[in-house]
Amino acid sequence: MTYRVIQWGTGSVGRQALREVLRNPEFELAGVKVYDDAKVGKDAGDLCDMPATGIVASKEPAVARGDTVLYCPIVADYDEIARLLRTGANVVTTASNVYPQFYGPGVYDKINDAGIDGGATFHGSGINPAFMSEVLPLTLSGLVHRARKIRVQEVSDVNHYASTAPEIMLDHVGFGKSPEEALNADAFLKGMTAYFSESIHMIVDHLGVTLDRIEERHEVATSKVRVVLDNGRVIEPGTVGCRLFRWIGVVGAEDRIELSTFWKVTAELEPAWKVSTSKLVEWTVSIEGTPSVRCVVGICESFDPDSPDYLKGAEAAAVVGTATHAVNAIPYVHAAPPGVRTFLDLPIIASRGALRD
Amino acid sequence: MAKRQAPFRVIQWGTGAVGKYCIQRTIESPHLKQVGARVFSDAKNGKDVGEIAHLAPTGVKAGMDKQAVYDADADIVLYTPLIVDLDDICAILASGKDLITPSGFVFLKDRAVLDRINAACAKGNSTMYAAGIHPGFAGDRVPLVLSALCRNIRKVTVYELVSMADMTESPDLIFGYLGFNMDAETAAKTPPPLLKTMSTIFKESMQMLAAGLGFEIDSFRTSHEYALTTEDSQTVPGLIPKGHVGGQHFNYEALVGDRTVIEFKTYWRMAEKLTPAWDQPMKGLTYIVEIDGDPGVRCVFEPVGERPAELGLIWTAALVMNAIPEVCEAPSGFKTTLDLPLIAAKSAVHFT
Repeated sequence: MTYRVIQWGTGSVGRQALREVLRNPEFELAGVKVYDDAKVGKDAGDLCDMPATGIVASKEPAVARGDTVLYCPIVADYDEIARLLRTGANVVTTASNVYPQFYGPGVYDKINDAGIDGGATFHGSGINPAFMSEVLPLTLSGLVHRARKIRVQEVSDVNHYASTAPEIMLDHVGFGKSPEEALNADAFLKGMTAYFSESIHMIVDHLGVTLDRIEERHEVATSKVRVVLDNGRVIEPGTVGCRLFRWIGVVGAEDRIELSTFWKVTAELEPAWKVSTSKLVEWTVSIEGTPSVRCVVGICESFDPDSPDYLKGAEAAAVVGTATHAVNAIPYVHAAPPGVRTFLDLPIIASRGALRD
Repeated sequence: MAKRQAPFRVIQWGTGAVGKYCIQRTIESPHLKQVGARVFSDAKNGKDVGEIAHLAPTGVKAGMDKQAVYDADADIVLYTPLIVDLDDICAILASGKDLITPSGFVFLKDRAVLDRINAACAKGNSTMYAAGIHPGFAGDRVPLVLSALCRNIRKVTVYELVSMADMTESPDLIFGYLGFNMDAETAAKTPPPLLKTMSTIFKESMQMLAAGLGFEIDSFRTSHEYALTTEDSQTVPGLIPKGHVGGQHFNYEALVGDRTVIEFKTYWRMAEKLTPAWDQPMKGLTYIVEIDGDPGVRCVFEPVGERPAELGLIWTAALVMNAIPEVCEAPSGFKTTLDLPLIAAKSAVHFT
C-alpha cells in the first residue's frame, strides 16, 4: 500500500523528510504546509531540490482521514496537533514529544484523547534525544542481567551547524559568548533540558523504577584560538568554544542515567579538556552492569575508504538520519492503535525499501 | 489479558555453556522460579539445579526424562541444548509451555517447519521465540534498529571478532566440536564440524534482516577458511602446536541478483600469530555493524570486563532471559524480533 503524507514544515529536517517522501514509492505526497510567506505557492519539489511534483505548498493544506502528517516545526503546537489527530490524520513529529507523558496529563491527555477520538496515532521521533538516548540504550540493555548506570554521550564537531544555524548555536547555545553568559540558561536551553528529560523518564518508566530527580551539570570550556566559521562569524579566544551538557537521572540517591552532549568548534580548549578530533558525530552508549557493554555509533556520508565522501558530512548526515527515522516510522504508526504510541509501543522501525536501488 | 502471569515458572533444557547462566539468572530473579531442568549426562542426572550452576542447592533436581518436562506444570522452557531436535521443541510447545532458544530459529522461511511449530503452539496456546547474540542481535536486530536512520542502503556488513583463547569450555568442545587444533593435513580434508549449523542459523538471521528491510534474498554464498598457528600457542583449553588450526573465518553473503547486500564476517582466533595473517586484530569480543548507505552508519559494541569471549555467552543468556516477559505475554505462535515490541531488559534491569 502507499501512505498519503502531508509534510508540515520545510526547515532543515522537514526538507530532508520531504525528499524521502518524494523518493520512496511507499509514500504519496498529498500536501505541504509552510510557515513562510515566501514559500507559499511553491512546488514541493522546488522546496527540497527535487523535480516538480504538482503539489503546491500552502499555509493550510487539506488533511484527510488516514493521512499522516510529518510534523517538523521546531516547537510543537499542541492545539494544532490535537486538531490534526481529530480529523483522523496520524502525526509523526520531530519536534520532541518522544515521550509526551513527561509533560503531564495537560499535554499527554490532550493528544492521546484527540488521537483516540479521531482514530489516529501520535508518535514522536528524533536522533538525539530519541534514537541514541532511548532506542539504542534500551536495545543494548537486552545484553545485561543487571545495570548500575546507563550513559549516552554525543560528541560532535559543530562548526557546520554553527555556521548554518548561528541563531541557535551562537545566540542560544552560546558559542562565542562569555562562560557566565552561556551558562545562564535561556528558553531554548530549558527546552533542551525538557527534551532530554523526556528520554530519562521514558527509560525509568520502562524499567519500572522511580526517579528521584533530574540534575543538570553543565560546563563550558573557552577556545584558545580564533575560530572563523564558514559563515564568517568569529569565535574569539577566551569565549566559549566547547559545551558539555549533562542531564542526570538520579534513582535511589545514585546517578543512574547520564545523557550528555559534548559540542565543540575547536579542540584547543581552556581548561585543556581531552577532546576527540574526529569529524564524525559519535555517540557512545555505556551500560555499567553485569556484564558491562560499550557501544559507539558513528554517522557520516560514507564509511567506504574508497569513496570521495569517506568520513565526510557528519552533521548533515545526522539531519538526514533525524528526518529518515521519522519517515520510516510512518508504516508502523499507521498500523498502530490510536493514541500516543512511543518507541516502547512500536516494533523495530526498519528502513523498509531502503535497499531498492 | 496476558496469557501468563509473573512469577514465570522456568524449566531449563540443557545446562551447558549458556544454560548454566540462564539458571543463575532464574534463581536470583524475583520474577522467575526454577521448577526443573533437563540434562543430557548421567553425571548431571539427579543433581540439584543450583549445584549444576555453581550456586547453593535449590531443592529442584535435574533429570534426563523428556516426558517429565512435558508433564510438568511450568510457563516456559529455556531450550539451550547443543543439538536441537524439532520433535522435542514441538512436544514442549504442545504441552502448553512457551519456549525460547538461542540455537537458531530466529526466522523461518521453511513453510513445513513453520507449520509444524505453529500447530504445536496452537495446541498448547504457547509461543516460540529465538534470541542470542549472533544470530539474534548483532546481525539482525542491531542493523534493523540502525537502519531507521538510513534512506538508502547499499550493503550491511557485520563482523564478529572473537578471541577464544581464554574460554573455559572443555577441550572436547573447543578442539572437537568447534574444530580447532587440527593439523594442516587433517584440516585440509575436514570441513569445520559447525559449518552446516552456522550456515543454517546465519541464513535465518539474514532472512530476517531482509524481511525487515522489505526485500527478498536471491542466493547465498558461503566460504570458510582455517588459519594455522605460526608458533606453539598456549590457550586455556590446551596447547596448540605450530602449524595447527588456530583461527577460523566463516563468511556468509546474501545476494540480490549478483550484488552482495548482506555479509557476515566471523573471525574466531585462538592465537595472535596465524597464517594467513588477517587484518582483523585479536580482540576479546567485538561486533561491528556497518551500513553502507545514506547516511553511512557504523556501530561497534563490545563487553567491558575480563574474559570477553565468556561474556559473549553471558550476552546470549541475557538476551534469552530478558525476552521472557514479552514472550510469556505474547499471543501464541512462532514469533520473531519483527513481531515483538522493542525488547529491553524490562524486568531484568535493576539499578543495583
